[in-house]
Amino acid sequence: MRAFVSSLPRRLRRQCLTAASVLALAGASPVGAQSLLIPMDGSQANHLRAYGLVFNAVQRGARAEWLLNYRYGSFLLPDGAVVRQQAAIMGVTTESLDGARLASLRADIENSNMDAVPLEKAPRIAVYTPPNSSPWDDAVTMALEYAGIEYDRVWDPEVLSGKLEDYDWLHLHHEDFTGQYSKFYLAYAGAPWLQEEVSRNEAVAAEFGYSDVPALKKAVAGTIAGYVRQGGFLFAMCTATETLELALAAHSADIAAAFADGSPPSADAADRMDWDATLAFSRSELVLDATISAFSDIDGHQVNTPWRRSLASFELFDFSAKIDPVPSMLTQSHETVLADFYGLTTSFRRDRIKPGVTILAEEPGSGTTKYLHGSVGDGSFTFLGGHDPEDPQHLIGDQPTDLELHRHSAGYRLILNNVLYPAAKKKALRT
Amino acid sequence: MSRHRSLAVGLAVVALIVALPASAAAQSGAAERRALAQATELQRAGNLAEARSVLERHLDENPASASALVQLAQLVTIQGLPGEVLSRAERAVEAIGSPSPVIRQVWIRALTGAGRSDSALAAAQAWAAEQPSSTLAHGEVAEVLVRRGDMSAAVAALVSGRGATGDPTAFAQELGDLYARLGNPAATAREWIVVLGWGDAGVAAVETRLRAPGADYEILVGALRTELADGLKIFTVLRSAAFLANRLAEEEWALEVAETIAERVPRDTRVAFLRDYASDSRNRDLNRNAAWAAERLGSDSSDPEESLRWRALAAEWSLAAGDGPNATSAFEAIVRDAPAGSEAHRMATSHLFSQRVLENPAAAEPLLRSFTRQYQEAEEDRARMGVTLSAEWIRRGDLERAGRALDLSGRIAVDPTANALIEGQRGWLALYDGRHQMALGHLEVAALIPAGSPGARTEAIASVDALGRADSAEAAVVGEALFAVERGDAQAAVRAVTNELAGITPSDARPALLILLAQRLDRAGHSAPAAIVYRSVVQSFPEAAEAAPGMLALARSLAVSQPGAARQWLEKLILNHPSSALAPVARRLLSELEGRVPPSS
Repeated sequence: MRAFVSSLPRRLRRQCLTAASVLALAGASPVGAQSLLIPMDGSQANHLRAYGLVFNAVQRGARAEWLLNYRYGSFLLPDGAVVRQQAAIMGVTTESLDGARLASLRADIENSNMDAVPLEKAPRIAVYTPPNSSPWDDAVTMALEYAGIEYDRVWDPEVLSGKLEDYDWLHLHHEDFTGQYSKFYLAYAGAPWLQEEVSRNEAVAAEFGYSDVPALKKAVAGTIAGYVRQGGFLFAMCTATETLELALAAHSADIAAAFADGSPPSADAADRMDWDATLAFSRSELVLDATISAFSDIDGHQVNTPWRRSLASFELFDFSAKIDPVPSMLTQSHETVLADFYGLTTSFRRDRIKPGVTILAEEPGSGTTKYLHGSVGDGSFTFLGGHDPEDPQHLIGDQPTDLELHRHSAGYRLILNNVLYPAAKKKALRT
Repeated sequence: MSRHRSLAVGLAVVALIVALPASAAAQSGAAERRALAQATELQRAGNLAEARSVLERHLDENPASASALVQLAQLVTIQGLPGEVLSRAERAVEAIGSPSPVIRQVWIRALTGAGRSDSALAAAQAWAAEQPSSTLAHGEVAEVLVRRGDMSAAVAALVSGRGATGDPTAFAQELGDLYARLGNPAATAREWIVVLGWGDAGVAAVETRLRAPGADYEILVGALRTELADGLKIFTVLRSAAFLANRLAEEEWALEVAETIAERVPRDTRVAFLRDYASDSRNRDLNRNAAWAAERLGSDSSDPEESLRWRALAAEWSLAAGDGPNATSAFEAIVRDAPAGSEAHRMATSHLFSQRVLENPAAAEPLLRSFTRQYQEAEEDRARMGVTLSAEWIRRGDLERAGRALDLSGRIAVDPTANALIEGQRGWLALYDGRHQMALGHLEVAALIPAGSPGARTEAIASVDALGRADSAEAAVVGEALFAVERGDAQAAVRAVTNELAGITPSDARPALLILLAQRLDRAGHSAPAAIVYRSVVQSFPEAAEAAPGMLALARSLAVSQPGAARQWLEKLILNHPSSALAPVARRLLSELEGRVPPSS
């Protein structure tokens, strides 16, 4: 939505550009340095904004590198006045590297479980969210805003009109693709916000000629799956993960409660589920009772049911940077054990995951996983359970999370790893 | 008793799901306990199908097991298939002959779940006929009717059940809910009045229903008020109503009910109620009601000292409620009536002084003199009162009486906070009066004492640093400007620095002195003159450390009207003063201006 440089005042922008021009003409880097290291270990003052600094540099055409496993996933940028000023304003720690230090760094990478992945093109980002939502409703939007990474909002009309072709990366958050409004009818039937959500969805369904909202959402889910198969990057969190899958599998079944589409779920709904149509999950049992705030047994925590599982912690797996660069990119973090956080879908039962999907994080010994990645067609998807890494309980009406107070959040780093990973050079992605 | 019976129906489902399996399991054999535990574990892990198989296998061998049947009923309800327990419930009913209430409930609900509501109704009605005193049976009849959507018939069943059980308070919650769904607020209110008779639990139950999404709050509260006014005046109900009204912040209604109680109950009951009510009102910031209760307690008390104490509290809470004139006359009466040295006298004198000092500082002087004489040990209070009086004389431009006001607070012997207050005020008085070295001396003492308000001490420390480096002519001009700020003449303050300081060669302390002045202007609400002084600091002394607070203050002042200009000042601060402690603050403000983080409250 706003590129960082374009958001700078005109005067400062001019200063930056002048300084950059002078340096370019002189053919020299300032203070003799060649590269700027953005460390991602404990010395980094703002881990989250570091991603924004790198993203914006790549967007301006700089050749950046992601140093996988080097000081917990540091970045390398060409040194220059503009990037230094941006780093200062954003509060991001940088270190100048001269030729000798750079050579030593590359030798360390060569001889260890590390790799340097070029970042060559900033992805065009779309966030699937209703038009009137606040940026603070969704962890990814908060992370993008905080890091200063530009994005566009899309919703059902844009998806159904083929606008996804304009984007490389799509994020889904807490949408309920079964069309049942997250089953919030149980507790919030009279709440104005829910009434507004219902009428907004029904209006879009009518506009596009669908009989009801569940039918609309199935069509949207199918379009999103097609976008992935044709090469898109999908990152979904919370209930969007589970309900997207259910909507895809239920293309020939009615799994929605009567309050959503006027008819009860079909008696043979479970038999009619087509698990070949999904991306990540299969053989799940449905929860069809409208009074139970859960969708299926994919989620291992079932937060709004009497049998909810308590929160513990989850552990990121360690991958070979040289052999598995994609999982490695997605798990770069200065912490490997993270406190868990609830969402309407918090985790994914291991026995519901399709073969071939890579598990990136799990709750050890519990049979549940937190973070998944897989490829389908020419594209890929990543699913992260939970709603907000820094708001473990996340109750409706809670104060929005202030990322200024969580600048080192390892959970939010996982989100930003996903934002940056499509920028990696295609060769690296395909290994 | 009636409450428990009534609640039993509402909780029947919960009892089915949770309580009874545990107790029944305790009575069953080890095999049953194992089966139930295994099913529970599988269910928690999300494996509903396997949990169901375990229970079904157990019921195959033990068809009359109430615990297993109840757990299975819960499970199939979760699966959206509530009718699937029917065959097993029927087997259990047949096996036992005279089934327990729990099994009857499972059976009736399974019939409903299987779409056989006529059979369910017949079974429930047969049960009620067989056991007319069973609240569970009548509740089940109503439950079936509610599920059929026949609310009026459900009401009739509960009313009839109430008669059959002989308990006129039974089903009050259920009937209240049904009447509310039928759009009958008067009948709802009459049932809620019964619920309020339960005490605190009833208050919570009615409050929850009033606050529920979709509840017609205004109409229901109106109906409740009318029914309470027209009905019998039962103390427990009225007491609950008063506390309910407090919880809902319905100040007028709460007071009306509390007054009704106070007029009707015996003295001991009234005193106990008023104490609780005063405390509850105060905790909820309903100060007018708290003051009323304290006033009544004061007039009720036969102990003169206790009476004065309640009157003093009543006056204090009246003041908090914004009723200044009433509070003043109450404090005057207490000062007159209470013995000197008593807690009530001290509190009243202090409050009266605070009110008088702003209206007429000369009239406040005798009160301070009297307070100093009576309460020698209250050094901090005396010092605060002296500083308050002194500040008021300064505001009126009379430095001499400002100094005398400090003398009126008497000698401070030991209290560090009191010493810091007096020394700080003497320092500022000296500075306003052009006595540079004397000001420095007093402010040094104030700055050294680790007590008092952190803001005042920080200002004293910054002033000592600046005045220690300033020359006397410069300090005199800044003192004159600060005095003008205290008098409310911001323009004179700005003139003093722009005209008179221009002719004096700046010392190292100039930016610090100007920041001191600008911050005083800011605090006094003179934001435009403050911005002029801040701007002079950042333009004339851009490299000085004081330029950072200047830039931050300018950015804050422009944040709403000119966010672009505010961003420029913040970026300049970050880039030119990267090591300043204010650089992170500037980044935060920049993030807020750009909408990257939620705004600070």
